[in-house]
Amino acid sequence: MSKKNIVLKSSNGIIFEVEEAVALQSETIPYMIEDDCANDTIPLANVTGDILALVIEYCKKHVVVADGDGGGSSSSSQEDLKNWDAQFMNDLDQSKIFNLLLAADFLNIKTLFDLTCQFVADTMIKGKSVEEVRRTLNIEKDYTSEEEAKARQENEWAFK
Amino acid sequence: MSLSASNVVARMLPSPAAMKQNPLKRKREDKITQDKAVSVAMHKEDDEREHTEPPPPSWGVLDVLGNYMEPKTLCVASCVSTAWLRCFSSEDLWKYIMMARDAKRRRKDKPAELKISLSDLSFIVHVSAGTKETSVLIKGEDLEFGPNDKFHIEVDLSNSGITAGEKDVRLTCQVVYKSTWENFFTLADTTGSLNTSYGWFTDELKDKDNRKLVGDVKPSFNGDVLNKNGFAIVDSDGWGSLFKLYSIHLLVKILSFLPSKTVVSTSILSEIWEFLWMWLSKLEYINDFSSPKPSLRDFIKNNLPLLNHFSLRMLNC
Repeated sequence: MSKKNIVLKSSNGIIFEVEEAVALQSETIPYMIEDDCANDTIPLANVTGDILALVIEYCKKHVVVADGDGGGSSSSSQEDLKNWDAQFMNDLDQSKIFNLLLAADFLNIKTLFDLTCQFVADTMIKGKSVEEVRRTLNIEKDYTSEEEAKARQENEWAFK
Repeated sequence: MSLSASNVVARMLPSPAAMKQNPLKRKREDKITQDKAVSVAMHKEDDEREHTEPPPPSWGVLDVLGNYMEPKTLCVASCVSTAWLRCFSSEDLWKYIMMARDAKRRRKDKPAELKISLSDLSFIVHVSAGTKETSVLIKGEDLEFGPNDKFHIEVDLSNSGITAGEKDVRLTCQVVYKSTWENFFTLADTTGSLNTSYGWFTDELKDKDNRKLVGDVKPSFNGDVLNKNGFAIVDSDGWGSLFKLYSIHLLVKILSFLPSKTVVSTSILSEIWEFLWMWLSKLEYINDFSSPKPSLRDFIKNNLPLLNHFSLRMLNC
């Protein structure tokens, strides 16, 4: 039995053909299919090719695991998947991570969205000092020293 | 080159909804978008792996991150820049954290040990009239409440020298957690005229949930001299059931006055607040509580562990 394929087109015109089950992990894509794009290419104006490739890599991995267990995942495969997710995120640079997060948001892929958000929160912000966060994320300090002192005072308990 | 930059700009544009939501955001976002476009364009020339200055996260990213950070991280993040302050200090975000955070994980957690009882609280009642004043400290462990009792304390003020007929008699009642003095809350601060026949009500206990709670100030006299003063919290919704208020409401009361962020903050500073903020959303549950427990202490013991471990989760994650 041949599986139905879906064709996705990135904002910079790169075409990806994926199995329906892979694409349908996005809750946005079904709406796009309904909206008259069926049997046709689905244009994703918000996602570039390199990011879409990552999204598809993630979705493929996750759809395979779901299939292999016939719905009920064993704990070992859950563990594998978790490790895979961690490795997947660790291999990305910050700029890709942010774009992947936005893509997951746009495509409404809940697990990928959670994964990227939690990764950013935990690895780039949590447990770091204000200065470290600025350095890590290249944030310009636009506070006046008065404003910063006030902000720190309001949040004083967090610095103890 | 210019093509790739315009792609990036298109991707970074905020959704119409986001723009409508906060006009300030849009301003910042435009700026970030430009920065981002430039920096990404630069990366196209370099080997992307080699760059040392990554583009900062856009508004789109910041906007969604808050729900994935615990309170302490949020506070630190608020100090990073003005844009981050707006993003991570919004009342909506803090409310969301209080109410909904980690609901999916709570099943996994074991209930934590109970850390609060009435004996952890002390109450300070201060009465003054002109130059005469006196303060009394009451320890929570000396108070006993039955299941349907109103919150009520009575203090001996016989050495204050205040007499009947004095006007502008000020009564304050404060709640202190343990004796650290770091966490205390003014429950009532009211001024009235002393009269041997009547006390007075103070309506400053109105809370967000439209419960009409009032403080009931009731002096008693020895001759003309003020002897004792009672302070109670009562529910004025139908004076027929004046005293239906459970004592636990006092604790909820304390929190309902504080902004949510402060509540979460204090929940980490000290254990009492740790679980108490949960009650803010549980008022209905309390109201519907139809099988009263023998005492406040038991009530807490029997009912709080679930809530307590819920909030503990916030500390550990």
